[in-house]
Amino acid sequence: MLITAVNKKIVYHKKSLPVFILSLCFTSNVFAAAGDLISNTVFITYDVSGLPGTVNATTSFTEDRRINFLVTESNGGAVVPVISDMTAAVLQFTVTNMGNDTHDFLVTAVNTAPNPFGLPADSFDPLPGSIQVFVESGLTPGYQVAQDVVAFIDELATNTSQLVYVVTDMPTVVADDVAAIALITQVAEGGTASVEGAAINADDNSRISPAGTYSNGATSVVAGSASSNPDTSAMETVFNDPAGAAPEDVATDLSQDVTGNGQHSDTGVFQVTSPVNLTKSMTVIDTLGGTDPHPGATIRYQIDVDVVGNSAIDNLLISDLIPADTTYTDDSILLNGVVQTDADDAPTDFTRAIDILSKPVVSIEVDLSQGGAVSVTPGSTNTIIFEVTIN
Amino acid sequence: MKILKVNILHNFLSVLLICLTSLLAVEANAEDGAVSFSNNAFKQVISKNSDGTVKYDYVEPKLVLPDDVILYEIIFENITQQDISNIVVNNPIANNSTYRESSASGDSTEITFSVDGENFSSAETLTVKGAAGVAIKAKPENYTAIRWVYKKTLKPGDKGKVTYKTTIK
Repeated sequence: MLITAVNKKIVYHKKSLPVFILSLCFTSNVFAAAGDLISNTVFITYDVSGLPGTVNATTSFTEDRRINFLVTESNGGAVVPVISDMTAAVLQFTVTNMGNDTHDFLVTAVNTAPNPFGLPADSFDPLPGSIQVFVESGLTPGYQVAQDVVAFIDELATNTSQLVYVVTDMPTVVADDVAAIALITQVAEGGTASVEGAAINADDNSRISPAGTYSNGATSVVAGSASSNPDTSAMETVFNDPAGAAPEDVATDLSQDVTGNGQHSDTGVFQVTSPVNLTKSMTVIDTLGGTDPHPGATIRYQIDVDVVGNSAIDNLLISDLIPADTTYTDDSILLNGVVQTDADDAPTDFTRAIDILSKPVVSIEVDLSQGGAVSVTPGSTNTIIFEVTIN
Repeated sequence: MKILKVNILHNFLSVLLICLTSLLAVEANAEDGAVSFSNNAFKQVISKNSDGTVKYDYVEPKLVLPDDVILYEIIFENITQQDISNIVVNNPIANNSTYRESSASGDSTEITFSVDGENFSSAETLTVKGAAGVAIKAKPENYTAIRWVYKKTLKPGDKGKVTYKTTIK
């Protein structure tokens, strides 16, 4: 792999989204509980023939259950960079309960399209069977493989939110490829902590949820049967969840998520990026010890080579052109602080100044893979320094 | 200390009274031989007429969800052959409910509000303690009770009516 020291940064901003407070904390319960008897008693006092009297009257009715919740991707409104063949790549989503009852929520993630952040379009899917969903345990921020193991949202109170992770493995892909993945959430009964509640797949207002598979394949939910009981004095359930905001937001039947189906979804996006990040900086050292870039001053360039992701890199060759109107300073290459030779003299070292004999030097090269002898490990940083003088 | 005991006893009896009336909650009409008294709740349903104007309907509150508006209509009737005077209607705001600003009405009544169920004053002068203990004007969501003082004498067979609205939390 030949990498030149030119930085390229791609940031896509998603459609404008409402701002939600993302919190795992218990917030104040501004809604009352569904099923409450709302009772109003009026008292009247009066005098008749000089004698006081009093009477009261009470009327009451039941507050019904409104199911309303929202899924939002929580990756900073941008694509999540991944590298080819990466394992356990993570997308984050937030589920917020805006109804008036505590619920469990079933979650699943599916491949979808297009890219909600704009171009490029969805072009690949994660490895088949590798998509899994886990709920943040609250123990340690960020996805923790040993801690975040529960695959449903447990007892989410009114006006509170829960972070959910979609974890998946990448196939062999090339830079800029895009995979869009939707998290689909299905409302379920709450009431018993640590027990996955039954899906609520129909309301009392003729609305139903499509069938689906949740909890990483462990839970199958059949489509609801429409029934209408909107006018009883007992508690009724009403689906009031919004439609998915964009075409890529789907229900478990993979059609566009519609309003009032007991499901909501949002889409996050992986985009393949280079597994190597280069950061180049420069320092001017003038002949008087200052930083004025006048002729004769020295420019010291520093290139930090970071290998990201979780795969080792082979054949990693860093090359950088000597800028115009400057002259390479002989024997100035440092690799991780160690002086290197300019000669093409591997295996003495694996750096070289191109055209060091014929001059002028046109570029420098550093073979971090040492002629194919080593792989560069993920998480490592190599620092290359060289100097030029201004003509 | 003696006053405290009296207050505790008073509060206990008040709570007991409310609990007992809740148990008998389905009954919305009452009378004691002098006054026939009804208290009814309706859900406000907004729709549009064919000419585009907004239409308000009030229906039985069977399907009630958060943010729904409830209209309470309280009617009292003199069922004696004598005049009834000094009529006062007191209505603590129901649970799960918030009073809607400027919704209380009643012919020939003086309407006041309370944030503690004991001290009543007009909406303009009612206060609550804000930050640092400074009294600030109470907001409708602070109200815990409404009081109507009927300013006339209710003749035999006459009726009076007061209404107000709440929003379901």
